[in-house]
Amino acid sequence: MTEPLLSVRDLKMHFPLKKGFRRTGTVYAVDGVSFDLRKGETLALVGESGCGKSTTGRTVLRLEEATAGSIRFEGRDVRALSKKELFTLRRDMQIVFQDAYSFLNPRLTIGEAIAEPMEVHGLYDRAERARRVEELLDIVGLSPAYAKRYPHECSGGQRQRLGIARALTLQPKLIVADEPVSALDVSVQSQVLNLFQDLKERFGLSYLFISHDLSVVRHVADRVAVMYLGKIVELGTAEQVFGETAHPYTKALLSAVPQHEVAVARERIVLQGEVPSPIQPPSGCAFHTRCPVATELCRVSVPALDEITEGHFTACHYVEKGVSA
Amino acid sequence: MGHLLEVRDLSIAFRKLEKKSKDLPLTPGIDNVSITLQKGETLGLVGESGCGKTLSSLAVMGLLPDSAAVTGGRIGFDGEDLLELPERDRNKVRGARIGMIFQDPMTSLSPYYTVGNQIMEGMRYHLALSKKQARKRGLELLQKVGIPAPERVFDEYPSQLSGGMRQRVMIAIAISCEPDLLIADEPTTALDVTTQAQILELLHHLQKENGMAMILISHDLGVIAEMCQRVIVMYAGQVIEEGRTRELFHDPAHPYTQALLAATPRLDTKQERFYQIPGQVPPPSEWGAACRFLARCPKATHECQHAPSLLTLGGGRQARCWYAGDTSTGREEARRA
Ligand SMILES: Nc1ncnc2c1ncn2[C@@H]1O[C@H](COP(=O)(O)OP(=O)(O)OP(=O)(O)O)[C@@H](O)[C@H]1O
Ligand SMILES: Nc1ncnc2c1ncn2[C@@H]1O[C@H](COP(=O)(O)OP(=O)(O)OP(=O)(O)O)[C@@H](O)[C@H]1O
Ligand code: SF4
Ligand SMILES: [Mg+2]
Ligand SMILES: [Mg+2]
Repeated sequence: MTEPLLSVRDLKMHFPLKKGFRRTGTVYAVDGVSFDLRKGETLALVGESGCGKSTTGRTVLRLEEATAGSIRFEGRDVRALSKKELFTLRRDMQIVFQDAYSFLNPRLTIGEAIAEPMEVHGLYDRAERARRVEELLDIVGLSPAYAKRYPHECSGGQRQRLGIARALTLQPKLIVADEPVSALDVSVQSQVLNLFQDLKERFGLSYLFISHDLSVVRHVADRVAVMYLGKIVELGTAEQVFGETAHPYTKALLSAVPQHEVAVARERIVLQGEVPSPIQPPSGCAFHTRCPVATELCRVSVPALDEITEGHFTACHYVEKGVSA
Repeated sequence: MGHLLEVRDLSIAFRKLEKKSKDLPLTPGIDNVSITLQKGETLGLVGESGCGKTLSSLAVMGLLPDSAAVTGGRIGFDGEDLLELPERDRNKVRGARIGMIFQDPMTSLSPYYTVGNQIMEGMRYHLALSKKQARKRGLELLQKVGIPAPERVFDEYPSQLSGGMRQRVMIAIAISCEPDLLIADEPTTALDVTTQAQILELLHHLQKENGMAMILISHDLGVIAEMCQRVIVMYAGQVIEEGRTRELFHDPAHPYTQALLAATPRLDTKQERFYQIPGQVPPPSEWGAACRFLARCPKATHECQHAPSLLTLGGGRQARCWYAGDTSTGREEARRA
């Protein structure tokens, strides 16, 4: 088999918790995550708010320095790269941030913001850059008139699309897309998702697609990783995760999706108990405090991420091999 | 009479700030938008990105950016025109009687204050709570919006929180003074479905408990269907359809609403490509005499060169399309009306 584009092993990101200068604890934001991403593949990362999706994405791109683990991109050890090497690598690895406001420079117009990465990397001349800016705006469904606007003169969805256009400027190989369509109405969302699909087919672009919108994930993802409290609890092809759902947490997650066809109201599995804090993750299986089928075993022993059928992994004591309940 | 909120024919336009010249043409933002809401009612506001949903809400909150100006209409709230109120009285309404969950958490949360300070601020100002009382209530609120370890988050800065946690902090702030009207601008976009269900449940509970009315802005039609009695659909700065949720989703009258529903991805079937409405929303500079949906509309004819006005179809249904009456219920309702 060919080598994966991105290979992440046992990735950990622990934030120190401080009160003043005193260290009072640790946030186990990402706690031993492993996955591979092949060229031209979309791997979706889903899970409850605060489970560590964004942190995983940012750490993979080294926007944050991991606490432990290995990250390989095209076989190279990303964590060992020098600043200069990292700069070059950034051309190939881009991110669409969850919070469009946090990365936009308020003093740059939209046109300038999209052109900036090309300038920084010394690509193309002025005229060509301008042409590309226009093309990118069109691709994300904004008229060229928006190039002269400032971020604060745009609506939430317009800013989100700006973030997408910016990530595409350098024609990267990998995009970490952190909730890229969350602020978009369905039609613009379709446009962006179709675009992602086209780029994938034409250029073999790969995505780490972070989203809580499972109906979107269902359609764009080749494989899906479900996270809970900093760990992956289920991983498999989209068909496996949606069709042969194994982990109790994934089942609860899927049952909560609202649908606008009021008729198809499904039985909702409402999770009992509070979301535990990543500062003191529960013992054993971290999900045991809310799991409808948990037993004493779950409280004391950590289930391993086991392969139950080919390519379908899950971390639960009560999912048997070859059986997907 | 009887309306809690009555926005009538509200128009807002932008001017370029740096060019002070008075005769510079204003860029239109929204045109003649009317929104009414009863006490305790939930209204959904949907529409293509950039159509003016946030702008309309900011106007009700009295938080328009400096470059925006109200060029017509009124905003009635509990019998008073908010646009006529002096700033001091407006401040008493904002945050206390009308709360808002902002679309972009980072624009409304300050990076320099802890979460706790930001939650306590409104309660201390509007409800005159002591620091101790405000802290107690603040922690309760964080708990209610489903934040694990509220004590930890209370002392943290927004930058240390995940996207969904920030959003929930903002929700806690918006409901802290138990407003009569809550404007929720994409309140659950950053939230996973389980947390989303919990938040919607909480909002629903507040409505029943305190008779709070709510304007819910969301592009998630599933959420709208679950929460709202009525829906307003906007397109390019105008209201283009209004009606009761069930009827509007079941049998949309306006071609844009029809396309919007067709574009919704479903969980139960896998599709290779997503349906997208061809073309783009025209920027304000291209808003002319024709229907603003013309270039993208599959039903357009020469008649559409003249912009249609909001056509009343009966049963509280309205649509801005010459052919709106052509849907089955549309026809029926037009006859009945
Ligand atoms: N800089 C930081 N300092 C301390 N804690 C942090 C920091 N960044 C993130 N965290 C914590 O790490 C955990 C995971 O955060 P992360 O942003 O990865 O969540 P997420 O899965 O992306 O959630 P969401 O869906 O809400 O965006 C959270 O508990 C968060 O508070
Ligand atoms: N300060 C400003 N100057 C000029 N135009 C502006 C300004 N602020 C907003 N606009 C424009 O006004 C229009 C309405 O914006 P608004 O934020 O209300 O959209 P929205 O319906 O909330 O969209 P979204 O779903 O993307 O959040 C947009 O086209 C936007 O570009
Ligand atoms: S008025 Fe004409 S152009 Fe406008 S939406 Fe109706 S059919 Fe289409
Ligand atoms: Mg996140
Ligand atoms: Mg908005």
